[in-house]
Amino acid sequence: MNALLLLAGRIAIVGSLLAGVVHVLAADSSAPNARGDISITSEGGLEHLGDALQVIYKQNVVVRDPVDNPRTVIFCDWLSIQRSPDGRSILEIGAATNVTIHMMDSKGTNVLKGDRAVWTPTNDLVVVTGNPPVLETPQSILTGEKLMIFDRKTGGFQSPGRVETRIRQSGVAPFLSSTNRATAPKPQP
Amino acid sequence: MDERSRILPTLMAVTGFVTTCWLITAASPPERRVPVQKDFRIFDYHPGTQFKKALLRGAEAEYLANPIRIRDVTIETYALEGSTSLVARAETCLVDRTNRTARSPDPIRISLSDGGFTLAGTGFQWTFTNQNLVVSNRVESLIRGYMMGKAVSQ
Repeated sequence: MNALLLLAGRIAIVGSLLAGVVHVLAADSSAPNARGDISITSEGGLEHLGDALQVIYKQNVVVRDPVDNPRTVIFCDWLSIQRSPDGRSILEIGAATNVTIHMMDSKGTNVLKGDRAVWTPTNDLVVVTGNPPVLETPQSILTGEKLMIFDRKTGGFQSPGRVETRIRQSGVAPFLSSTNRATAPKPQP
Repeated sequence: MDERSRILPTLMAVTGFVTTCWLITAASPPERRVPVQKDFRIFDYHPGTQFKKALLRGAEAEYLANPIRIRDVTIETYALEGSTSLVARAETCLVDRTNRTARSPDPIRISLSDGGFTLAGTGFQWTFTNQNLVVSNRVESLIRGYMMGKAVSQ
């Protein structure tokens, strides 16, 4: 009887230890939780250039980052992905033609439009160039001169050069326009 | 007499039909058997070296035909130091010996960077010489988060 109780006690101790190990392993597996996966779909197929370590997507390309709960969605006609020489990481994601980037945050959705966009994962900057690049936020519409830089780490925007801002009155109609141009154009006689 | 005269032409017609059928069957050529090779492999090497650059292999191949029909296809490419760069799998494909390409209307699944970057689609063409792989339709791909570096702190 004593031996049976001793065996039951040992089994209980081993069981609790195993449960602890499983718990630690579960905690470790969720600890890195680095970054969500990114999905890319296209309607015009893709081309994998093996020697150049590049993948090119064509026609109605949609990028969702992360795939399960997208915080950034990119729409474009062409998308290229440049892999590193060792193939272990992504160096650059380039979007071209009719580029629209939807960025969701706590305040709403910001929409960035341009002709080309380059996303560098190493510093998480998205540089949009266009004719001209336009940023639409729930509060305003900002038109840049040549390029706009979106920092995905901080959620901040930069637009070097001349910028025009239109502030929305009720989310749709602008009531105020401003420009950072130093001198206003002279009125024509 | 009348009954015999009626039966005889019918009997002759039936006999003639049966004989004709037998002659046609006997005259038709035997079913052509296509030679099939198991575990078929085509290699490509890095220029000026004996290191493998690409391998197309199939469980079965009708190797005497051109294009070669291959079943259960795997395409692999290798870096110069020997690591596997790309693994692609498809049900069937046709390999053209002349221009060294493989093509298929079947679905294809591609794995890059040991599964860190996966691609899938329908219909493809593979070129041995420059390792270009074109997927035509229904493209879906997934990049694992660790391929993109650290997390965004938003």
